Amino acid sequence: MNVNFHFNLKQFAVLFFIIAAWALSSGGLSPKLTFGAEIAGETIITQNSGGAQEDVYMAAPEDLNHSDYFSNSIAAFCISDSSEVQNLYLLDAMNGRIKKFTTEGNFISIIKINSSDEVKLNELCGIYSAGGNVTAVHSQNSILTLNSAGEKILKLNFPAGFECRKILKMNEKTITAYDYDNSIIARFEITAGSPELKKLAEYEDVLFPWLISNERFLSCSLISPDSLFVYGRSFSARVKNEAYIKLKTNEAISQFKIIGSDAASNIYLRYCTGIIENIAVISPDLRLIETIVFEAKHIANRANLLYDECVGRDGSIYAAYHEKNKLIIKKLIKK
Amino acid sequence: MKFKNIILKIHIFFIAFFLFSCLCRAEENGALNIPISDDLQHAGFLTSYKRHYPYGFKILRDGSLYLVNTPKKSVMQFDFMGRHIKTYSGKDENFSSCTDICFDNDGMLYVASLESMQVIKLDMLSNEISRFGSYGTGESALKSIYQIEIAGGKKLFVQDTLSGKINVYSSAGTFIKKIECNVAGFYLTAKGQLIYMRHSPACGYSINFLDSNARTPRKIFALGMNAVAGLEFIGCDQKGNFYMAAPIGHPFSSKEKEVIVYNSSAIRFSNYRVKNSALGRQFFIFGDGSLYSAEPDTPNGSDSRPTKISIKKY
Repeated sequence: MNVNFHFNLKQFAVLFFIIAAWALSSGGLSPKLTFGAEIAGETIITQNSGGAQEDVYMAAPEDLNHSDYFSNSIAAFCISDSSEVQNLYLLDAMNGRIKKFTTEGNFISIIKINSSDEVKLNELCGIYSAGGNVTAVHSQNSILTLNSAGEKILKLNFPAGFECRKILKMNEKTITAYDYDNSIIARFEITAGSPELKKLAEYEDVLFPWLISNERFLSCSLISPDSLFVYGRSFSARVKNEAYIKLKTNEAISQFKIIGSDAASNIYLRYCTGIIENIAVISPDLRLIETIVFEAKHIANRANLLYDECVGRDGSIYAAYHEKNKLIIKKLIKK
Repeated sequence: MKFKNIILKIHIFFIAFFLFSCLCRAEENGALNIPISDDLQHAGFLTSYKRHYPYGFKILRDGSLYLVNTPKKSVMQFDFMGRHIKTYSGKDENFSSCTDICFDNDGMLYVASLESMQVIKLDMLSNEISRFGSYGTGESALKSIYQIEIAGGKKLFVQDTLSGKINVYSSAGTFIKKIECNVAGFYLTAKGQLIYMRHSPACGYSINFLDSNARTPRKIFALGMNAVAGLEFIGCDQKGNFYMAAPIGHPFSSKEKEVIVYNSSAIRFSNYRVKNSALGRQFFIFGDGSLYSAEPDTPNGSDSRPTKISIKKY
């Protein structure tokens, strides 16, 4: 009797260790895993290559400005950073226009950008909309705000040495932008009557930051091939022991970046493990809420790393990619 | 009975491990074997305070392979069938401690010599035409030479890994500019655009692009991997994929290297293990994406004298 009991205890202990090891290796049991079958992917916008209204400019392989390493299709794509109705904005820089769509992909209007000495269309690389009638487009060196008729409201210049690759937040008083080439996030002040932006604060050595308040932002770092960290950082304080969350995977991670946030200020961190695309939903206090996992069929066709994905307030994910001579924007939403 | 079970489990474990390791390895597809001996027509090997192998090799578009036969102060040429065609040698000082080589569109050979810390331009008969660079700590000077390449416009790019830079010289030998680069290896596109990697402790590795007329580089994408030591950039293929290699384990004692391939959208889509070799430049990537690796054999343990260098295609 005793022998049998001892044997059962041994079996139980082995089983316990196996379950514990599995739970630890899979990152714990608490965060929810949502698989592709639970995600509805719907193509909401399809644009051909060209200059007509239904088209967007795409550099053909024989064009002089075609690149094997950078985006040859859209310059940028964003969702309005608004607490009310959100819309999608597509910067078709080489055709001198911005296209506005509903979040269901219905075409609303075109905002014309006139080429001038102040605006060189081939230099435009990003777009930002806070909602309403004002839209901003930017090059590495300057930002141009336009009204819905395409008329210039303001042109603001970044200080020398800062190369803007993405606008993270913009209002009447300040602009927070990211210099991807030099890995710097910086906040600038808009001074009335002056076209020059004044730097208020900056933080160096950050990858793919996302602003969660005026003062705080999150950024990610892939320390080793299978360990992705998200750090909570502040412009004013540089502490050694920053708050962070570590995501450990069984496969090497690539193409990682924070793509946006929802109404609850949860941030969406996208990363790939092999050809599997993962989106980790992380709360502002750095808790992993959920990981959405799906087979990414189109990740290889994305090239504009800073402006090809965004997140709506309802948690819908929008992704732009090119397929042959078409630009496609897909909306991913949980069923 | 219990003992038999344990033996069976150990067997299953080893079979599974063997199958897994086979899957992890890239498919090896043919090899060019170059014998190592004292014969003038063979690759050289010297043992002094350290072991001296040929520095590396390059393959041209026509498929001919050039082995930098550093211990014998020469460059060996093989045709696409692997037949030995020619040996470049001449004045000792021109080929002394030679590292990398390259050819321009006129068929002129450029040899990097660590002895003079210069790149020497030679004609087909190994006659010296001109020299580039010098030893020193100034902007135009060099402290080491890891790789040399010629751009279409005849600009010469010389990587000095010790100083963490790539120097660019005109065809006349004039210093043009310095590009900060602290990761070994770079690649020149057919249009003369430079692709290279940088590493920072906080952000890890990144792949950068510098157009031939641009002043500032653009980041193609950030790879991260801050903690990975000893990563080297091998190059790109015609599809825009990026190839790099990292030692598995400690960089100075690793027996294998992991070759990692990223596509232009920053997806890590392939990785495989190859033998780590003692050559200065072990890898070469051909335009079609074939990876070549130079691996000397060291029979009966690593301390013995190698008998051949196998240039394997993966």
